[in-house]
Amino acid sequence: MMQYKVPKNIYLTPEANTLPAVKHALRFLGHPIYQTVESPTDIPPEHQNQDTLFITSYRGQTVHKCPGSRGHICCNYLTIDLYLGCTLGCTYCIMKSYLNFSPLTVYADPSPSIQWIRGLSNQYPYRAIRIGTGETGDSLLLDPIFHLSRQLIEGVCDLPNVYLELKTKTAHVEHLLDIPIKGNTIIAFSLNAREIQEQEEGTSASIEERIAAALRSAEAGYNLAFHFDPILRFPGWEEQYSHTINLLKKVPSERIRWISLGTVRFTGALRDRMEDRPFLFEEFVPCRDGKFRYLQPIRIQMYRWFLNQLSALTDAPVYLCMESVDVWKAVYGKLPMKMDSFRDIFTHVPCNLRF
Amino acid sequence: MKIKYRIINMVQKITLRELSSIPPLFTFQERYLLSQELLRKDLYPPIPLWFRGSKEGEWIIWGKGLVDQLKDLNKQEVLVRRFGPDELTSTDALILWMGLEHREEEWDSYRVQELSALPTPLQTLVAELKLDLKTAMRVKSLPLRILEAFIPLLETFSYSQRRIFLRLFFEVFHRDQLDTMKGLELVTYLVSSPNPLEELHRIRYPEFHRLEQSYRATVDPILKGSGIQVSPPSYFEGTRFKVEFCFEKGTQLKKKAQILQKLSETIDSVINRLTHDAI
Repeated sequence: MMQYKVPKNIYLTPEANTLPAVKHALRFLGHPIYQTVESPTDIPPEHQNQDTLFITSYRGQTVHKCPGSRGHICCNYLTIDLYLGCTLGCTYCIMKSYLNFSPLTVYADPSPSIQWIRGLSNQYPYRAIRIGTGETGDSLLLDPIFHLSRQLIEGVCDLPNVYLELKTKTAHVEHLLDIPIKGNTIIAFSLNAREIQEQEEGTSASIEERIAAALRSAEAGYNLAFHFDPILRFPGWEEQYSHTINLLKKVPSERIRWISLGTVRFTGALRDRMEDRPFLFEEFVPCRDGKFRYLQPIRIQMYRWFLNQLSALTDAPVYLCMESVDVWKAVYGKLPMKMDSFRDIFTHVPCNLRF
Repeated sequence: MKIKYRIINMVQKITLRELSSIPPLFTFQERYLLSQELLRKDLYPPIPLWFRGSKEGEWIIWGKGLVDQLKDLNKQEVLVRRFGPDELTSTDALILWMGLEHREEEWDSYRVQELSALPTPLQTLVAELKLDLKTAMRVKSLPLRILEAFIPLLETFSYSQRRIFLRLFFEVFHRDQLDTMKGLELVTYLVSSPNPLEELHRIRYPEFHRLEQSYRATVDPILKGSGIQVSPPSYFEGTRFKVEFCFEKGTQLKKKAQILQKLSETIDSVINRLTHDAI
């Protein structure tokens, strides 16, 4: 299991230290010394890194649409920024290209987000609103310290069309199990081949630990999702991923709401920041969004393989994350909006409220 | 060697004979080459000499190229600037060596230290502005013998070709887990090939080149001499092919349409390879 590392430096904005989540966190961390600043720019440059924790409350609109990727099909996910940054240290992390020189940030007051989601739910009562906190950081890495997900779950659990997804590479679910009403909350686990987890995913939980956490979550009444992302190609990838997929057999399939697939992709800027990991010596080509991906026929081959393996396991929709129209057509024969099982997932929900 | 401190950090003239007894601090010493006219008029930057201490003695920071030029002009004396032990650090010396203070780009001490840690062939390329520091840093773990073997070949490339070549070689070296001997064999092979960069690209991206070869094998025989150009999607990403041709008369158009008709009967094999028959 992972150990919590007390951040080297902690900064709070003045209003933040009255928030219940912050009080809980400071108690959890053994009342560490912290400093109060008006804004993150007041943090000294030598502390502008991921060893520093910056805790604040609210910073304008907290619900966003997933930015997607130009020329690629996006599942129109909505995101909430609770945790910005991550210390797991995955070698392929896209956040490396822009967050390395920022403190780990916690937006410790989820109430504006809850209000926003409630407004959206009311505005679009017949649309499935998929919303998650794992876009800019791991949803559950710091959550046992701050308990922000609990507030979110409790704040939206009565909304029948809201699917709150907490996406993680940890096994930190214990603090969520006793929440009495879980609504449509989905605990989602990022999965990979065991070898990749061990070599590329830093201090994340092992695949077995994640599956065990998924089982505990399902037993407690949560729905589940799994994300094979990034899928990497390496010698023996089929065998290695088969092992992970076999572990999924332990999970009650009726609990799985969706599974996503995405082969590894990175920007040129990220490539420059990445160490020379073995997976980077595969063949990558620039795609329409400027990101580098495997050659199209290779991606298609890999997605088909996954689809074939997973369809034997579950009826849950298995969709592609940030893939091109051509790849969708080659893998599924059609685009997601033309398929009943994907329509709910891919239907666009504007994240702006009409007042 | 005794240094008279009254002349420290001052420009002075010394004989070329005296200078020839002072060793160079860095192996590579041929950066400054000036016009004969400037040299005759003594209009050149004084050669920096650094007295590092009584044990270490005095060193030429840069200037070998200049000295050689001055000798050719039968000059007897050379302008130098002497620095004492406490007046320079190794980083300062490196900055002086590279003439970095005259460069437009920002060189902080961190970058200078990175540069000083590079193997000599890469350090030289960066110092001569033939390679960027980022690429040099990326490939610095390549064995020294390989880097040395590259130099003549790299000299024939443009700046960007040099960057691409080194990165590609580095990736192949690590992907194929080559040792120094195998790496040197690859260098020899590349040097002897008619287009080393293209050949290295083919080795680095075999599947991409197989796709391209298969495309060419299907399309080229049909289009040869037709004036029609059919471009596949860039990097074979997507399925959108582009056809380009010009015509002046209906008969010409008819002929091109016939060729395209013929191509349409075989092009599906290429399209399928892109989207259906995965590699």
